Amino acid sequence: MGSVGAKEVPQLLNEAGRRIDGRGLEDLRALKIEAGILNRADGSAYVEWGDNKVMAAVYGPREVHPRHLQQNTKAIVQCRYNMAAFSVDERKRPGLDRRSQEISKVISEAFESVLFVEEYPRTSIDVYIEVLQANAGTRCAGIVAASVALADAGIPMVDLIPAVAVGKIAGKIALDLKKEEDNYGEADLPMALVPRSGRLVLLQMEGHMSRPELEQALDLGVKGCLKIYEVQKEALRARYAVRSTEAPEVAA
Amino acid sequence: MTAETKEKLVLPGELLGTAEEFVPGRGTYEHNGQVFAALLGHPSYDNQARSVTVRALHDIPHLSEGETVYARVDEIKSAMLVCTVLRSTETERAVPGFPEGTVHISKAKESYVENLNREFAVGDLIKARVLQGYPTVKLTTQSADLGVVSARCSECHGPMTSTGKDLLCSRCGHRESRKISSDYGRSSTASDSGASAASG
Repeated sequence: MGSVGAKEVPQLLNEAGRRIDGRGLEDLRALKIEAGILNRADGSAYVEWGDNKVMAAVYGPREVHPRHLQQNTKAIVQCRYNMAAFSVDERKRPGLDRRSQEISKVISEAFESVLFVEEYPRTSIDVYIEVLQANAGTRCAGIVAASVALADAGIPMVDLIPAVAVGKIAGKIALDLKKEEDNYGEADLPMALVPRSGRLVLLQMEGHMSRPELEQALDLGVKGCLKIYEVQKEALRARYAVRSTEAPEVAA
Repeated sequence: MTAETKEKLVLPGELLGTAEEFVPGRGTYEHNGQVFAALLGHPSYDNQARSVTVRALHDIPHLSEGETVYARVDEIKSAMLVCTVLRSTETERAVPGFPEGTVHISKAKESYVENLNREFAVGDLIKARVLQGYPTVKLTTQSADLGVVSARCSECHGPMTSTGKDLLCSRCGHRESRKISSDYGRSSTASDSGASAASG
């Protein structure tokens, strides 16, 4: 065990401009998405993003519980972001806390703006995001997974929404922070983008950035989101394109 | 791979054409003069009507004419049965919003019905066919396989079994008349959804 109190700050960026895991400043961690993994949910997806493992399930449109939340003109989106007790190094106390409540709220709002909620009045679209293993950027991984799960559930939407966090480490703007970079870095800026319109549906910031840095971070985030968008589309095609081409051949 | 062109898969946000070429139909939307897919599914272009639609791979059930559904009887009026449509017999996914459906007395049975209370009771689960899905849901039970599929005794609330002609309470022996479906007691899924709907 190291000496108590003296926190060792890791070197986030080496002389060659490489990060802890050898990535460049504009590189994403390895991303793998699988669609339609749960039989009992209307739509589902699993995401492995670096050391993050996140599962999302979608139900609905279905009856609203509690009833008083029901809206006569549109469906409501109820998202529950939850971290498993074993998702982090030290056991996380299970259940809702302030952090997960906030994340659930911002994710619900992000999706409410891209789904055609007015097509299903008096119903609820329920999105469950379970973080099985966390390594920074879980809200973005959750959005990426939930967005694929919503498309899988056949819920009409404007577009898939990719999300990524941009941060500032050792004075430089970097894409897709991992845990050490998030903990010891200077800023963290998660964002979710609607590629079709270029609209941001989620933007939060922790730490400090100057205005030029923020602009640089937004540009880098949009670039990252577009890469993730391609992986999302590929995941849905890989899951269903094969099946849809097989069906007519079997019949013939 | 030729099948792929036949059954092209589109994703939400994918461009289908321009609004000048096609009218955006079900499963699509128009934005800035262009038509995009709103669903994961297969596009179909109607060159006659100049419209484009997307058939969802995993469709959210909507009530269309000819479909058979499970419904729960909520109220019996003098000439009409009011019920909640739970879901289609084809899928386990509930119809969003659990719409209210009606069976008119003339559409309850092939033969003449004097009193609907002799054919149905509040709380019964029925299997019915959709006559009209929009703007109001109209149903019929005019077929041997349609009618009550699950019922409870009005005296003791015990489960009823079908004798072919009427229903017999397996607990207290009380007899009741119903428009019984040939599927009575056989569709376990119906009682499942009924139970979940009743508890919800």
